[in-house]
Amino acid sequence: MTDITDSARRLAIAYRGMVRAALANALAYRGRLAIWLLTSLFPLIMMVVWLNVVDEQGPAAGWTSSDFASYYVAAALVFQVTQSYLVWIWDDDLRNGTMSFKLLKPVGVFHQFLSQEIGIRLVTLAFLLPVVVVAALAIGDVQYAVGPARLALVALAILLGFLLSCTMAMSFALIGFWSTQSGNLYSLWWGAGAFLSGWIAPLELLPDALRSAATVLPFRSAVGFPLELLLGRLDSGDVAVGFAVTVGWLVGFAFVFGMGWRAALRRYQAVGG
Amino acid sequence: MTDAAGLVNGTSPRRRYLRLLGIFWRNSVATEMEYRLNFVANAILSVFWLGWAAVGVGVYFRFADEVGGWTYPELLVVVGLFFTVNGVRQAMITPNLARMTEYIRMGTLDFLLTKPVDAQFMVSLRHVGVFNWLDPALGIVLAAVGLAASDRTPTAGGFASFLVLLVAGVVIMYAVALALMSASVWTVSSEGMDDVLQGMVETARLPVQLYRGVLQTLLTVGLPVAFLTTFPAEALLGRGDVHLLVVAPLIALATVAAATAIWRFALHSYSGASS
Amino acid sequence: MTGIGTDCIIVDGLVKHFRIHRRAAGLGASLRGLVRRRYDVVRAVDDISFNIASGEVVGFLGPNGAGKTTTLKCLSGLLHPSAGRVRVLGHDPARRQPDFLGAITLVMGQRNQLFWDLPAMETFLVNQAIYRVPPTQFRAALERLVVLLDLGDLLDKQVRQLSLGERMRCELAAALLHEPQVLFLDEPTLGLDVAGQAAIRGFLASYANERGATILLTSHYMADVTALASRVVLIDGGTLRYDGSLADLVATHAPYRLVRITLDGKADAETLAPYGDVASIEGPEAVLRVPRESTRDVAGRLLAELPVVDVSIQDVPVEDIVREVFARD
Repeated sequence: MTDITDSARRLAIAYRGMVRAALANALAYRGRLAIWLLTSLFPLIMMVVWLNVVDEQGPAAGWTSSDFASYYVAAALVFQVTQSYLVWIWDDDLRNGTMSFKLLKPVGVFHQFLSQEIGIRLVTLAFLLPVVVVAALAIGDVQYAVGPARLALVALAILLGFLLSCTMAMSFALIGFWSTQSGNLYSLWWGAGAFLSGWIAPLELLPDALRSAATVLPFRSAVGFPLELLLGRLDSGDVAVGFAVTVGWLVGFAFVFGMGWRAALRRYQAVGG
Repeated sequence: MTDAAGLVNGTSPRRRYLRLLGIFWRNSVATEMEYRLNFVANAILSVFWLGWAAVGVGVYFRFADEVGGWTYPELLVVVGLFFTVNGVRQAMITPNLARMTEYIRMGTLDFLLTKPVDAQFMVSLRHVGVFNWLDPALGIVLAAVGLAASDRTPTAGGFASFLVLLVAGVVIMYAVALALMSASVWTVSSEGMDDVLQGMVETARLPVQLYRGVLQTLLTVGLPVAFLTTFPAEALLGRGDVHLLVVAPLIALATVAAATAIWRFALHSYSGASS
Repeated sequence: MTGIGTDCIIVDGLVKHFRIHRRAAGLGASLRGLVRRRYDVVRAVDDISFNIASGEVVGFLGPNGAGKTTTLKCLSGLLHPSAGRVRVLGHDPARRQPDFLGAITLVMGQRNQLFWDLPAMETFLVNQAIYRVPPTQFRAALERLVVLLDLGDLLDKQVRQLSLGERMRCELAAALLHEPQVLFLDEPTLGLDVAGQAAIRGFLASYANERGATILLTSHYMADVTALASRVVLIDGGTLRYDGSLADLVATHAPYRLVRITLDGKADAETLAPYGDVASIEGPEAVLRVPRESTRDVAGRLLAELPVVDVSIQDVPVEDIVREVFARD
């Protein structure tokens, strides 16, 4: 038993140091600021089109201007926090030899990448929050009818969505040990999933078949689910299902990564990366 | 800038530049062709993203036959032209913009400045990216599909105006890129420059009429995004503003002149600073 | 834990093969290649055995592609052997156990584990957390390394602003803060200028003396090895050509010394032949190869019998010895 608590403590200490460095790194890399701000505001473009539709045709599937504004303003934050570029970062490290250094540290490579992501996301959050608040005020009509209890659930949903997104990305990243196409394969996966996640449009606006599929697939967990939760559009049954699906996929992909990592490592040790 | 070497050799500067461009691009293509798997994979992805975009904008039309005065097929023309213009950006601008940091940090810019070829030419057009070679062509296909589905056949005049406006749009995009390259000379870094350009061009996925109020004005007058896809699409669809045929080329020339001036200024201050 | 003198590294019949698939040029070959791949087997390491005791400093010499780096990667666990047995500090490196990883370090020439956009200090702090170095130990190690590597004003500059030599010194510090028992150094002076190389060598020599760590160093610079290692392992084509002390290498493979003379007037081979093996003649200068035992005698005779303006006696450059060892076969 002490073995496990000891390992947990070691890992925690390592995480503290790694996340700290990741924060410093993310802050130092100023070039990224431009792309964060720009890509984070993209949802607002989609919102503007919906506002046009509502203006001209009235509410769409029961969604009013206020609903769309609230959804997309929050989406500006949620998209950025829960999406991951891990697959490409991982691929870079594989190609330029940095993976060797990572492999020789007494901390798992998974943890090294995850801590890096945590650092980047925290900095992104810090920069985006004020921008999003300003956007919300400027756009007006943004409402979230949620109390502190539900807000906590939203935070949990975002955290789990983030973890799922990272684990899923890293599972795809493993493909990089065998092929140069891991990024492209992940793009296809993510692209298809964008329709089922709430990224292209709020899921309630999609045909029923897609909505049902989205409820059981992993894509909604990082995008639509926290947003729908925030907008108060889910009853407790939906909420429970949402969390169950998220956790289920998280465990699933963790397992996939675990198995895949062993194979990937053997491959790396056989051919030298 | 006079090209003394070109005149001495007897070939006109223009011929020489065209030949050089051919050589540069052939080299870029040859390098990328080596990665055949990527070549094919990128073609597949191009088709995927095109379909993705076409279906994506379709969602709006589940609730309306027209948005901002545009029907779904008409919107597809804009999306198609976006892929074409964006494809040109990724092929001809991004590779060169990304290399700016390298040029400056490695001092290659100095090296390029001493060559008897216009630095602007060398820096802005040297490399061509081939990884999404299919995009421009696919974009035209989608635009044609949208055109057919909207039951419009462009007249000869309409088609000609489309070409003029499209070229003007691309030239304006090049001018903005050149201004960004100048900025990167000042800041000794091109980090984020391509992202800024990309962000700007991404807004051309949709016609400007779908944006409202301030944003729409901004994208027409402030950042000339409307020139990239909206105006050419309108010409093709036979609903364009005739005055644009004069205005667009003028704006294109003006922006290129301005950007070239900024570039020259940046180079002056650069060579002053590096000695 | 191994004590001084016990075997820290055991390599027994190490073999490492790679399958490289042959890719011919042309579209036809590429298409065929999709269906059926032709493989060549590259024998990067072909049956190597050696033991290294705790505290030893061993230099691996060999031309590029000899198998030095592959051997090092097998020892650090980055590669697993095709055949044979490797043990480092009692561990099988390929299993990558945390205890093993925490006791070794790998430094590669011209490659960094340092964060590019941050001061080196940030990398040091991360390593402290990852290797769980207690604060007092960390501070002491850092102070020592800063002095030995002369890092004073480098620590708060962004790594990307440092020169290659400065970066290498910071890299070494980052690699040694957790006081590993075994150091794997792969071409650590690669790409450095003369001053930079000297600095690294000086540091490694002091470090080896003070800390008693086991050091494996690969290089194709002879000077790296002569400066640091008493024992050399020569590798070429994946096989071991020599394993022993540097002094013995010189004695066995170069049982002669070089006598350089400058004559008053042109030197000619016939006159010089009786004194020794004429290695080269250039105008008034000549170089003779003379057996060690008779060097003094020969020098004396030369001075007495010929119009010698200048004479000097030198050892054969180790480079030449090594080249000869590799050239045989």
